[in-house]
Amino acid sequence: MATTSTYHDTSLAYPDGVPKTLADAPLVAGNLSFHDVTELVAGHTEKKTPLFWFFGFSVALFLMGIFGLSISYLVWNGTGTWGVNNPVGWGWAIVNFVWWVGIGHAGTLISAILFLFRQRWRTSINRAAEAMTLFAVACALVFPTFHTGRPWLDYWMLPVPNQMAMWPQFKSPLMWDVFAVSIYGTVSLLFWYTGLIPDLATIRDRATGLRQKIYGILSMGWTGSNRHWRHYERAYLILAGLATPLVLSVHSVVSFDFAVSIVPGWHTTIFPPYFVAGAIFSGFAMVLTLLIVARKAYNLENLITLDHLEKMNIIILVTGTIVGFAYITEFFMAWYSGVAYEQYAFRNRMFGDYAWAYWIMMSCNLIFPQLFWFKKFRRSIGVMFFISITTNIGMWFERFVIVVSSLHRDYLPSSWDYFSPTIWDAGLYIGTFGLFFTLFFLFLRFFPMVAIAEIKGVMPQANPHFYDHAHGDGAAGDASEATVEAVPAKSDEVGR
Amino acid sequence: MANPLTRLFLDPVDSDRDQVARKFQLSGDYRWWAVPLGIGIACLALSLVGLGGDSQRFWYAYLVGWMFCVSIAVGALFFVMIHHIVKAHWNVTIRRIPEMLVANFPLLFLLGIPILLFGMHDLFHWTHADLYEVGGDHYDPILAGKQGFLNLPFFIVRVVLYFALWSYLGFRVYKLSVQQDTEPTEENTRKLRKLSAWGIPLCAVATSFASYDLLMSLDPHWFSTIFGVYFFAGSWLSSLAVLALIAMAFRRSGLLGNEITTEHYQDIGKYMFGFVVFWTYIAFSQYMLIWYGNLPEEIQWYADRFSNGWETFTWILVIGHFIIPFFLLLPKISKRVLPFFALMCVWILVMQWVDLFWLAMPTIVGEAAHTASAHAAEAGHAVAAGFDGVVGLADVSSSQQAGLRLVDFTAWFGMFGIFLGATFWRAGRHSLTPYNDPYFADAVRFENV
Repeated sequence: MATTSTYHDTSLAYPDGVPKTLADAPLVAGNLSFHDVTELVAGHTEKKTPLFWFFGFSVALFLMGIFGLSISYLVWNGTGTWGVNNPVGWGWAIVNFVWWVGIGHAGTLISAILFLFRQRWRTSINRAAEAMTLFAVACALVFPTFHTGRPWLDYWMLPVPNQMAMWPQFKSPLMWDVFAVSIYGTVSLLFWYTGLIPDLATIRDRATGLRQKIYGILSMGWTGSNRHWRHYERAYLILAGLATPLVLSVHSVVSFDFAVSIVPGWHTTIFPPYFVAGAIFSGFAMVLTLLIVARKAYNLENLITLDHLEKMNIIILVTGTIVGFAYITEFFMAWYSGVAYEQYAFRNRMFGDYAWAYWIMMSCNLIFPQLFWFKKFRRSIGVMFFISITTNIGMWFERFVIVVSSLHRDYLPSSWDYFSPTIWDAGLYIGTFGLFFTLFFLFLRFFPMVAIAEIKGVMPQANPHFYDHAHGDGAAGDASEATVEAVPAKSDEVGR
Repeated sequence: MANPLTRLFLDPVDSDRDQVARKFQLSGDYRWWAVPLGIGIACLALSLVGLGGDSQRFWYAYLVGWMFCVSIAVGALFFVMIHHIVKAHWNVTIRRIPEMLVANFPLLFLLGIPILLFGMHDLFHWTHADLYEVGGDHYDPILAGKQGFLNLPFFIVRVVLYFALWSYLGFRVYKLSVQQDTEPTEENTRKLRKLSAWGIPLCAVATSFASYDLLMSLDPHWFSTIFGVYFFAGSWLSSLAVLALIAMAFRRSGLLGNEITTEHYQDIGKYMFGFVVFWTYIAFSQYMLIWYGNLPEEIQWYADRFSNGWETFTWILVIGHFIIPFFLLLPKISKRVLPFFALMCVWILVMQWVDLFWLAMPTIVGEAAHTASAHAAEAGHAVAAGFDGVVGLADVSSSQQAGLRLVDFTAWFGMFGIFLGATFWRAGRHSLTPYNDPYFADAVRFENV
């Protein structure tokens, strides 16, 4: 952030800005130089593929096989193979859909909203989070696509001219979902790709032969000229502005699926903002799960530091508490409303047949994240990994509680039933993990998993005055040599 | 030593005028605080005339004016605490203004006491004892079910608790920051951060429940889980407008021109734009879900706001609280040309008042209308539940049609005048900007990229 202000008042207690004692830790640790960052990130797409990658990828492919099997069985036999029954017409399919879409919120939040709020720490995590977002949205789309029963007719939901005089039911929020999710997916993809272009060009410049050609096509003729950067910055800002309302709108529309109905437990006005908070909560948890492992496996601890993880933990604490407060608000308001059905629905959640699911949800979403009030836990890899997993379990159960507990008690006791999933419900759910991790492993292997250009922009060297002072001859010069030891990725291993 | 009452209600921190840098001081001109205070007291006195005529209208107007000031102070409290917890630098030069606003909570409580003592019966239908007489003519089983929450003693306890929490948090953020002017210490910055960490969640709970109690329960049958968020959105928006306007007033008198720059106004403007959209998002979500569900117990509240002339105010909100500020605040220039931006701030404040007015006032008419439709039902007319039925039957006397009365304005200006007078009086006793804050130099140099 270059500044032209000449304001300097020596009578201030702190005329030169933030004192060292209050200054934040550097965003990039290990005294890395620009070149080190390039080596670290681009290097992983160039080196020999590590063994663990093959192992992980095989597991993902195996799950992908389950996915294929479940989908084929489903398409052949129909949704009757699922556990859905008469009152519970929306079973795991919608639970999984909402869960995956929710997870797909972190990426665009990090890259758009945190960008607008000038949170520079986002640069370390935004690339992987955005990729995760896209893959999660892809997984989410599987469920409604196939829940229609005749997926080959899904194009009926698009407002395309047709000869059948059929027109989508615009009054249905499920229809709004089609638009909300597809717009979100499109903008997220554009956003992700726009950010990738300079980094793909970096890889292209280091590559030879076929690799160079492929990355050359992908980087769309990026030369890094001043003019390119200006266009890039402007496009990035515009996309961030467009993506910000989308982050809120998608899960709001998803919440409308429930809230426009008059089913007790579904029809409540807090749903839109509370679903958005829950989505961010679960999205950050998933980013955390993935990055805790990836930063270790790929030696990125200097780029994705403990401080980054701590900040994500704080967001998990905040959003988890918001979600918890929303649960309590709903509960209070159900009592306050004086509506017998609402009161019953919430009592039934807590003490009815699905009380076990309710209390799993409560502990995972409201109680466990409270550990993050303590710095010790916020900075403990073990604790945060545990909470990142329980958060995603809790958020799955939140949707399960909302969907199933409200539906399984209809107004007439003769229409009551208990929902039990079948093996095919489980198969498809597990299968989407295959899809997700297959895509994610491919991303890790072939794409720069940290935004190289962006992270350089937040390093001290990016300050135009960096070399004016002592840094130039001392620290920075030493740093580039020191890092050869600090960074395990040795530059001579990099294939040129 | 200051008078203990002054200390309690006006400024809990001793004046440090003789110790702080001169260039950050308000001139000694008493008109800064005396003019708004005088106007405020005069307007409030004028409103009292209305008490004799229509006491219900007076108390509603009083409540709306009072909540207008409460919402500004609440928004300012969130503004200060949230920026402490996220370690924001840019806002430090303007931070003293919201800090002076949040020190108003004890005074606001004082102004709220008349409501608790004399206004409850006129304002809150649920305080009527005959609603709870089993078998009585006015027995209301729904409200009887809520009696555990909506009863006078518990209500008063809650209001006292909200103000105790707000006042304490307001006092701490104000005092710790003012202290830094004369004794620069990084310790206070850390303390403020810690305070905000537990203050924000508690304040969120208090603010939500305060909005249920003081605004939502005016229509005790109605309920909406999003209501607290709605109130918060409006509060944040109005506090931004007030702090920008006060900063511009300082600027006009040659103060803080170099410290609060166009860059800061642009940032406040961006916030304002964002929260205009956020408010709309929340307002739309609430309306759309209730409209779509069309349940009699919920839709009534909107039916009241779409009948008897109140639909005009509903549309004023849609256009004035969303469409106009959305398009006018979108371009960069509208946030950087200060006379125009000042106009937008005033506009936002007027809309916040219209919003609160719209939340509260139709309830009076609604009550009359419900009585009318109940009589109609007794007379053998069919009462169709839901939107059209209610609107069709709601035939109320012309005195209860929607409209503005003089007392609505005098009560509003009265409250706001006193609120501003106290704020400026406090401003005269301390530095207008926390210039010894560790982040101050960063904040001055801040630029939008």
